[in-house]
Amino acid sequence: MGVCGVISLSQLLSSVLAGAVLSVLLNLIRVLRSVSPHSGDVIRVGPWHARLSDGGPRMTAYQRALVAVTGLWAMRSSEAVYFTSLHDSRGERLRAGRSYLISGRNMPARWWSLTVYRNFQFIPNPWRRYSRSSTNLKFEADGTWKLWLTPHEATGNWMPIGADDGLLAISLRLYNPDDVVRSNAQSLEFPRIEVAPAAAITDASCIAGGDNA
Amino acid sequence: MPDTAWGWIAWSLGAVACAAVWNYSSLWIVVQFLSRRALARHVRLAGGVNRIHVHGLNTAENCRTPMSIADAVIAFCVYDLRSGPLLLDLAIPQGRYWSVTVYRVDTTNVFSINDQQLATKLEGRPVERIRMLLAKSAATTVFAADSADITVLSGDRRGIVLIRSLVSDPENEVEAAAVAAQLATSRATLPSATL
Repeated sequence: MGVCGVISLSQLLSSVLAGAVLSVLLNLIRVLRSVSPHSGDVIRVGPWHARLSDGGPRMTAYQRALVAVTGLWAMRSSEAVYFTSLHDSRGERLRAGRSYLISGRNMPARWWSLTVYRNFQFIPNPWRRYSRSSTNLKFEADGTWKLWLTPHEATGNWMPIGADDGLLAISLRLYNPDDVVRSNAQSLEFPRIEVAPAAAITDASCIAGGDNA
Repeated sequence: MPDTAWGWIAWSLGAVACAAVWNYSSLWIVVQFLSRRALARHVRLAGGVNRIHVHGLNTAENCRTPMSIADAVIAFCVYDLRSGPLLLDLAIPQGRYWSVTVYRVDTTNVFSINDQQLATKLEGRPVERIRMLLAKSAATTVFAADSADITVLSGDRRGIVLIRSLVSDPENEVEAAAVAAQLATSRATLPSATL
């Protein structure tokens, strides 16, 4: 006698198992979609991407799980927008032990910062330096700024990137962003992330920020 | 495997239904597990629930929350409203960004306000402190609502209140200590007269 006279117990169990496999495939598709250029509420500008629904009441179950893993207790996009980059501006993965130059202009927000993470955590360093922000970056006379990410100590605008392997990410936080950030971010000039030229790395005076030139 | 058409239909419908159940329950479990684990860690840091704890600046040594902010002095209160609403008397350091955000245990952000929005809301009042009543529902706020500037209905018994106050340079220990000292004057109390 089958279950409900239609299928047997073993067939029911295989159906449950198939459902589990289908569920895993569905989440895999979601993950792949979330990193594609055409994901729903994801803003993409160069190597930077942000989700507008992070922290808000419109989050789907999947988005809520993603935020719980990668950014627990994020604020709503009206209060803060979190851009993340795992790549440099050429599209290559950020790598430990390398030096990078991030350059840009002031961002349209009340306050903004750049923070480097390895495996979603701060990179331990003797200086406890994990970020630079609009309030402590040294700006050039033309309103631009340069920020060096190096595996060794430097001076001026710099942050340690460490030498240990891991998933490196740079977070660009914008607090109280102007409306254009959410409505038309592609019209804005976002920071560029470039592998630092070797000559600049070996010459300490070049690594130093604007006030040490 | 089924050997009739109806068997295949039943098998397929069962697989789809199970996929939906597996899918949403696994996502729900992930959120609940991570949130409750983080809340438990914060309760240990604060020495209990319904207490405001000034955590200070996040560092690689003291913070395990993924992709947390490095430029803010953080204070928090893990709330449990089983005994009634919670009255939060919050200090607001001047001349910098400050915000208070309320989350439920399922990570839903139910309320957020910053220093500039507060100044607009309480026009004419100097905004150096704010009294916020946190309750699960409106029914529990009858006797306590008039003692607060703002009433927040969380819709859930448990969650966390996060207070963020930015510093201009996290390596300036004097500035961070001054902000932390101001936040430390914040208090959480259970109103004496509740429904």
